[in-house]
Amino acid sequence: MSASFSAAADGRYDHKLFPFMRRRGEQTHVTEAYVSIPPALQITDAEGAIWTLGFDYDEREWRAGRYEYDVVRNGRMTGEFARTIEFRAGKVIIWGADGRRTWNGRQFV
Amino acid sequence: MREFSINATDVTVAGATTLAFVNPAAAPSVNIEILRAWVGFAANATSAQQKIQIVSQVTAFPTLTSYTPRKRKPADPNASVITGATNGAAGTCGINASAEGAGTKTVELPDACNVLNGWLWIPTPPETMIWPAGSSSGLGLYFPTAPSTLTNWSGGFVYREV
Repeated sequence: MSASFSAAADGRYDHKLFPFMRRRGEQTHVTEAYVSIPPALQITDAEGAIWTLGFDYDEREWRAGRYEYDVVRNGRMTGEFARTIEFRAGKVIIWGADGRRTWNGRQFV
Repeated sequence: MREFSINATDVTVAGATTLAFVNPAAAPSVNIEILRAWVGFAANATSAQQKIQIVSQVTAFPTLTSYTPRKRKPADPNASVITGATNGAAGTCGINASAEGAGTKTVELPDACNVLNGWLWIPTPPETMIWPAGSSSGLGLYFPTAPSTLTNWSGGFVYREV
């Protein structure tokens, strides 16, 4: 069970509170390679999607050393948790207790 | 655990500015544990570096726009012990300072980022910053140098009352 409920029941974050979670207007750039979150706040991929780490986490696992937060795409929770989101060779990669997973356009595999 | 956020959203900063500031309440009260800090920028697509610091500051505190902390857990029946105010006094918080105040700033965490990527600080539990109730100083998210573009900055803190 998650310990924090920043997103609504449908998994969407409030874009007025967190404007960095969504693209605003037409796409202006693609994030350079090897940028990772953290310490970056967001990644913009070639599709114009905005990636960031959300505020949701599992309290018990967090306290046990699994410091992971929800992976957010365009202000919406993807259902995945990770410690780091990395942009490498045009791919969005997440790192966490489940290892390395890559976004294939629909899900992380 | 009770968690709250202080959100500056799409503000126009004055220059070298405190983007968010929180000052623990007078003792006895809860302590403030900083769980996250972030800075984002959305005015344009011009790559630029920006220095960012988490600083502590003693009185006189910045002059701020009052901000009431938002619950991170909406089912929490109680508001934060921290309330919104413009003067940065103990037990208050605010955003986007219009004046920095004469109080000495001490750099607690210096960093920098490319404005297009923003900046996110998420400490692991042993690394969190705990500011005790009754502290003589508050914590600020601070631009030590004026950004090249002053508009459309976002940023803030997530804190826990412990």
